[in-house]
Amino acid sequence: MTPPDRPVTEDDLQAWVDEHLSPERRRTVEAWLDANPDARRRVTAWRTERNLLRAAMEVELRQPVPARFDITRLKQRRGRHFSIPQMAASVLLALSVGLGGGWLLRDREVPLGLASVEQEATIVHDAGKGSTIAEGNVAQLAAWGGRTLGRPVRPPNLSAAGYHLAGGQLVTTDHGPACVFVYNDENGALISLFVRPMYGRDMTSPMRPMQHMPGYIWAQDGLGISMISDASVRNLHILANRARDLMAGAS
Amino acid sequence: MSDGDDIRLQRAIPALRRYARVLTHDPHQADDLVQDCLERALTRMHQVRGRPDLRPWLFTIAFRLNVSHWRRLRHLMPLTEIAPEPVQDATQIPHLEWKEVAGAFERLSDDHRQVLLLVGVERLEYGTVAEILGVPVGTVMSRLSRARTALHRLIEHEERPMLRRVK
Repeated sequence: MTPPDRPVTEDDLQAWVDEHLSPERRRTVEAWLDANPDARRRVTAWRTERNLLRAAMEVELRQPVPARFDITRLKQRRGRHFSIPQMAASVLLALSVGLGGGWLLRDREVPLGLASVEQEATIVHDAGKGSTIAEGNVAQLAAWGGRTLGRPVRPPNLSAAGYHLAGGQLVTTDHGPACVFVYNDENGALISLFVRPMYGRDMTSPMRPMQHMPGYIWAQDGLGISMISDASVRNLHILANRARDLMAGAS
Repeated sequence: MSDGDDIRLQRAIPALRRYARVLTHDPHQADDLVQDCLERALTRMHQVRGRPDLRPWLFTIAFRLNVSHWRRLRHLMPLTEIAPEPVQDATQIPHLEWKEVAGAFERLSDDHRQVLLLVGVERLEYGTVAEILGVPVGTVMSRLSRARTALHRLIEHEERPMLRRVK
């Protein structure tokens, strides 16, 4: 421990201004300041100026905080950072409600079998980036999808690979209802898993890469499935294989 | 994150905005920095669970973000756009002395303004300030000494023309 009567330093003077001195040290410094009136004038002026600066800057603390810094709001925004929200939601709504299917594919050759799954999945992935349902409702979606699709559809758990189920959507395609499950990882990278029943064609089909998007497509047990990613997702093939294995195990 | 964490974070925002203004010289840039800082903070709240005073932690994030990103941006802009602005609402401060000190403060270097704010205004410990700025305590002390000397000199020099003008 340093003796309380060691020579007074510049640091002591700063600590005197900031009232950080221990009582013993403070006595020593006060005694030294009594003997050095110039130094006392200096530190007294510093302290006065510090107090004035505090008072001047106090004004800023009293300004109202803008709504953009509302923590509750900021947290909500974080929850959906893969959003292109409103537009995509309305596109999906149009896809899923009442338009009878086919309007998107009108004037085009409607593909059959697995090719049609690919086309639908592409459309839905593009449109659906922001339209998710709350996480808690995923089980409900799976149940609803299961009923609508006429068979159980359970989203595979990909959390071991770092992807968490963030939501999902029930959509209508040219070939009937389909389920879309959306996963994201900690960095916001997004994958969607599109699932719909196959009807008589390509009931089981080996996995192959998709043609126009980073994605893989396959059919198993009469379900056409595609996994599509943002360009940022690596090892998508491994993920798709895992999803296929998990879904085979679940049924 | 618990409600308590939310509340403590929310309460620290005025101080964070004030520090961001000292860092950036510009209220708009400052608020953009605050936004970045809060978004970063929200992903790391687990690091400070239960810590009563979040200011040092937030100031550290703001300081690092400012160094890595904002300063680079600022250098791309013409100098006139980053001229120091007077402290917000300085005109509404009734006391002439406050204005003088605030005006002199704005003319100090970035390093000096930061250390005067963190030590003098925010009343943080020297060691805490050293951690925020990523420098040894000795550097904080010498900056503090030079900053106080510089501030005092500016205020003294400002007094004279003022007196002459008043007559």
